[in-house]
Amino acid sequence: MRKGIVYFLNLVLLLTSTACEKVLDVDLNETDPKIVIEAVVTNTDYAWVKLSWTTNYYDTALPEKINNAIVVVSDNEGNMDTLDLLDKGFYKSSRIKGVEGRIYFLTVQVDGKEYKSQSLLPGLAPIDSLSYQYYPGGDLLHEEGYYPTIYFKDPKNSEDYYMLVYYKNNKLLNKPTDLQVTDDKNLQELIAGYEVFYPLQLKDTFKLQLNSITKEAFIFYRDLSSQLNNDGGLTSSPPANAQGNISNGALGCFQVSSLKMDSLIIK
Amino acid sequence: MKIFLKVVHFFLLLFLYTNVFSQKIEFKGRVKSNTDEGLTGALVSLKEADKGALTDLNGNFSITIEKGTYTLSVFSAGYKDYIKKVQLDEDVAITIVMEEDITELNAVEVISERTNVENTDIGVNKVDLMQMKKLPALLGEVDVIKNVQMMPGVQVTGEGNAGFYVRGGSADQNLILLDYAPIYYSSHLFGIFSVFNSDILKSVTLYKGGIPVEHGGRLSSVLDIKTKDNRPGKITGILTAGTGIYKLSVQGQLRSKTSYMVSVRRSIIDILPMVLSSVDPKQPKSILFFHDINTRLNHDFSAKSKMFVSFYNGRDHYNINNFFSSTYTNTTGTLGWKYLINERLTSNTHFVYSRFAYRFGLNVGVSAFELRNGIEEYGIKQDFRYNLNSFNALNFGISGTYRNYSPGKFIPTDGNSMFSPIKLDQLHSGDLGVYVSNTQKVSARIALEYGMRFSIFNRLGKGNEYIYDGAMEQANIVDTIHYKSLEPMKTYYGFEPRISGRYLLNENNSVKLSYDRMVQYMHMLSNTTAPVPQNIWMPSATYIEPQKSHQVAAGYFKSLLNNKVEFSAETYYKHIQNALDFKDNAQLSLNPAMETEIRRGFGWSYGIEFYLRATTKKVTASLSYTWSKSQLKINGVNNDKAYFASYDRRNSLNVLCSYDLKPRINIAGNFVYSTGRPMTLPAAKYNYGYVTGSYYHERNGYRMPDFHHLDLAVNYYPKKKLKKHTPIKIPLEKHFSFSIYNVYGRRNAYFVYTRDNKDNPNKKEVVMVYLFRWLPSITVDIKF
Repeated sequence: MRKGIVYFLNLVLLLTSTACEKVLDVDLNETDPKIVIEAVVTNTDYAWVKLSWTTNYYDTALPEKINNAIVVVSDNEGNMDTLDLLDKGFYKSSRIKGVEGRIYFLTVQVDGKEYKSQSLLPGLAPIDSLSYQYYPGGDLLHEEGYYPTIYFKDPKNSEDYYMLVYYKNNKLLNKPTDLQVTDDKNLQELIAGYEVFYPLQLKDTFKLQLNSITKEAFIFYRDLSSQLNNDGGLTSSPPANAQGNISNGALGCFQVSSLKMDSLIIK
Repeated sequence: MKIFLKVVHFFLLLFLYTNVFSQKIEFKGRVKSNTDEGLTGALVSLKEADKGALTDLNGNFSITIEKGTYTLSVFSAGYKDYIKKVQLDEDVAITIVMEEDITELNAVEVISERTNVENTDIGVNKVDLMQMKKLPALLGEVDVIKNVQMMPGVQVTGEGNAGFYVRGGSADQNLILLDYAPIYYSSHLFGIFSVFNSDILKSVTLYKGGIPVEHGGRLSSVLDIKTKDNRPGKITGILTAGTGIYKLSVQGQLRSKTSYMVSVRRSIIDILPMVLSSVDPKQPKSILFFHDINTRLNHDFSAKSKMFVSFYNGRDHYNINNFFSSTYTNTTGTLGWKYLINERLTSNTHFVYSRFAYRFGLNVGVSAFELRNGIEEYGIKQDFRYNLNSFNALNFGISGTYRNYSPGKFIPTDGNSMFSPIKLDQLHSGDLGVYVSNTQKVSARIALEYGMRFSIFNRLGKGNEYIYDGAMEQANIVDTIHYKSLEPMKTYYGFEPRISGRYLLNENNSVKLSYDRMVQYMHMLSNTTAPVPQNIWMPSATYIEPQKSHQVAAGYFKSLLNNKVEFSAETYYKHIQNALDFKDNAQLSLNPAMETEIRRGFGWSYGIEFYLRATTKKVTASLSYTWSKSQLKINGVNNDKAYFASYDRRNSLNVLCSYDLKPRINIAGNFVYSTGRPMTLPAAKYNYGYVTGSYYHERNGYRMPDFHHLDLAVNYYPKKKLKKHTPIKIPLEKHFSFSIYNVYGRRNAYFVYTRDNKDNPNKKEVVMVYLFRWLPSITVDIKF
């Protein structure tokens, strides 16, 4: 929807003027590095955590990874694991996998500081089926191609939050606009044919990963997405930090989610 | 109570004081047009005594003076100068009939100017509608709001935006009135033009301070716009064809006592997409236009009883290939009745209606939807002017308003929609204002205008109120209270004293002071860069307290060279209680608990404004310079630290100049400069998943580049020609205007954002978007 509004406004501006861009040389303030935690517990894989530091905005070097942390993931059933450092800044459990209805705890200790979070693993969202529709193109929104459509059921008796992750030919779609989350406040129980805006060609594979996420994770991804898509224009709100769910000022999010995959091949 | 008695005592003393000194004679009268209409704002002066007065709304004036023989002169825009010798030996009342000046030129330069020193107005600016038409205009369309934006103390959002900010107040703190009816969204084309057609305006006055007690409900300013009400006797009109807009307005008389005005304006920017889609069927079929229709009917029942009906409808409609559509509409109506009860007492009754509605539609398969919001207002105002004696003129009255707010509807438009509808409850409010003020000449040097407005506001049912557990900001709703239709849900009161005074140092110099207390009971929830039509208006309620402001101002006014040069300097300090802002990433769309997104605190602003205006036979020039600072401190925003308001600009300078090169050729230009507005940029970045997030450590900590442009225009007035073969023999007066906007092609930042460098995704950059460079335009208007 947002994309639609932006597109529309741009078109209006284009017709009324000639909007152009110019790179500005702004001297930006610098801050002390802050810790960035990307922690994921799902029902399909062992828990993993990525740790790094923020970098100055104009830096072109990759952010510095954190290799000296103690990372512990546990649940309310008494399971606990200290994650192993597998790669630079990448920690993974060899024992803990997400189970629906359990509460998960995260503790990260770095340089004498402790960062904590906890979340309940939400129930599973069932994907009913995937399909696709052919558009010949030339209608502004669609170029020529096959567009995947999603059919799934949103349980009406609970507040649910979803994250949609797409793969085309087993490659993750990873543009900032591909970060898609939604709540179910105004979703119908039956979502019959939600269209994904990716034109596919014959023989392409399309894979959908539907995540049930927590409210906190939804807020974090929603904020992050609006930050990434903020164009500073008239309808934009002031850019702001994505509010995470980890204590002690850590950036990032402890994402505890259950997920399901489905795929199709265009024939 | 004690304070109240003291105040009464003080006023009583003032009355006595004036009576002791009233030993001169009183020269009073009425200035009217040849159709018996009282002329407001005409300057009546007695040359030898160097004394003058402005006529009030009914055309009445009064001057206290010593006996003698004087040259009486009366000036009023659009009328021929009236000059006559008068012998004044005793109290006398006369009636002056002004003859209309068909050419409507030149005479205006003299109007009302000496009054700048003499009247009690402080913080008041009027748009010079005559000069405005000569100035260069964006896309050739003269826009009154663009001229308001060039006044001292007024800030803009950015290029081509018709929003404005007065003395540190947000955009929703301006009360914009079109023939007494409020306009809730005053822009077309997302801000490029304002909704006001300059061809039909009679007067445009901005009150930044010293706001008359008859107005209330907004903290920072009143922009009072009135349409033409003259009775031309024959059909006159003006047809304008510009680069972006066509318009036609006609005025005429139905019978001797009834006159009308009809005006239509339409943009023609949709011609380009229309042509494109007819040539190439693959091009999107687009509807892309706005229109305005203004009508006004004046009728005189008698010399004492007059009424008018004014109607306005303006609409923006954009539809691209039926995929996107965006429509917004303003509709207002006013019924006004003026009745002279007796020589001293005049009654003014106004019924007003105003409605703003916005729709946005997106039509894509099962996710198709339509989004709607709006506001509607019914108002009535009964106003009295009572000329107690030549030293005291009272103004008192009562006004009532009822409003319906539609904060949002989300309507799925596909039969198989994935969405369920969301309909936020309509909200209702009613308010009442009672006011009284007195304009008093205390002595030859001192004049005062003081009064009080008392307002009561009620948030009314039918509606729901949430009860929160703990702080409202945490948004834990534990209970809901339901209210029946018209049941009061929450009541607020406001005492709004206003006072302004003038002390005449000598005939050409005066100093003035003012104090204003204002209360605002409705708020536009806007966390966007500029006001946009999807911004929602909300009434005050339990969790949204009224915004209140104190403003003190002082000014020095000077007139030089027989008023050919006029200078003023004003300084002000304004403090705002319950100023609104929003938490980070506030969700202001379709949120039933909207109040949980609001954060409240204080705002304050101070500044100094200079204004210089010089008029000679050939040149009209004005210069305004403002230094100001506007800050907010809101709990829950910017880590509770003070920050600059997004419309804070340290310096702004506006220069307007018009020069009659030859009798039929005029050149005009304006230069606009202001400090760049504040913006928020990241201090650090981080990798998360496949994206790069930004870390912000302060709100509005950076500034956009300075904003400036120079615009030039050449005006050509060909000789009048008498058309012989038309049934009505009327002279056609043509005016050609060629203008260039942004002559030196400055790239002014329209907005700024951050993005990945195209070649190196690890590199980030700050990018500005700019709109217009060298925008030429041509406009032709024909008066008949």
